[in-house]
Amino acid sequence: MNSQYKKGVLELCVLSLLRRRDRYGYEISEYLSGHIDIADGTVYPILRKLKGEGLLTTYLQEESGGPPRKYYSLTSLGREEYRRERAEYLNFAAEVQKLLEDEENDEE
Amino acid sequence: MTKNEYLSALRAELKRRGVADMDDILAEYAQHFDYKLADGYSEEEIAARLGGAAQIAAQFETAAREKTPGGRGAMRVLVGCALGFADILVFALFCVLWGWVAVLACGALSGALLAVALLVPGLSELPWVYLPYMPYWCGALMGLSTAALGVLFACGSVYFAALARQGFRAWARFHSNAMAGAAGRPGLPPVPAWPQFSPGRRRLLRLVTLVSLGAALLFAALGFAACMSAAGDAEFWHTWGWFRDV
Repeated sequence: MNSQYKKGVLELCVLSLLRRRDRYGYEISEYLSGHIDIADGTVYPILRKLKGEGLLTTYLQEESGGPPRKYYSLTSLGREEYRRERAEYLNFAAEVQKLLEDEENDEE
Repeated sequence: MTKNEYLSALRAELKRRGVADMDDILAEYAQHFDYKLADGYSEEEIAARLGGAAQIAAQFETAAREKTPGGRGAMRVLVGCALGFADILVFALFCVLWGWVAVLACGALSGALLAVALLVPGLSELPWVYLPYMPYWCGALMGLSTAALGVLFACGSVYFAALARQGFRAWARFHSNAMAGAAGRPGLPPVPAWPQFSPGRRRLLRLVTLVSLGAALLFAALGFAACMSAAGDAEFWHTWGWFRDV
């Protein structure tokens, strides 16, 4: 799959994961690389980019028996962006699906 | 590749690309190694799954570039200025093109008026119609020729008006796409610069153009021949005194 295209969708996935609760980088990386075929290391640049755009903030939290973890949290701008991008993506995906299924019908 | 080898390779790549907050980034990757090691993976496995250090560093570089508003703002101003200058030239070009459309439309109108004056019997005798003398049938043939010429001009006017309109739309689309590109927004597909007639329309326009051109030439030749034979002289305008002082 086109990597540029995948990157845009990954950003949306990251926002979606963080909408439910705050997570630390490794957690997000593990979840996404477990479900989508990407290198483990690609999630961190995305997190940094989203933070740079003001969609995420970070804070450190002490963990029992380990170094403090850097948690990522959605800002209100991030929430707004997520809602917008989500609607856009779902609409897009539905159209693509419709198109591809139409093609199957044509061939029958 | 061990953890230390991977991290120093990543450090070198980040440094080469001038990525800010290098230590922060490296700490995050070091932590990734620690978590994965705790889950029972080997350092080699973890490094392999992270992706190439150069690739990762390149992603941090683009992430940093995309969020720099200064660079983008400067780009926007630059593209805006360039387009502004181009607009002056393009505006002049469209003025010329629309002027040409007006000229063709006037030509079509003149052809039609001449045809009416020459074809309607008795009209050329009216005091406010200034036409050189010629017998009615010669005039009628000339009138048919100017009528055909009028239609030809009208076709030209329609075509060039469509060209000016479509060209303007193509330019406007290019304009907005260039601005969108400078602002990092996606652009719309470009618009073709040539007139987009439906196949039926295009065929009709071509047919009318060719027929009117042929008719204009044919009737002009017939008109001249009729005038010559009526005046009994190849230079019939002298016989009828067209250029004599009134």
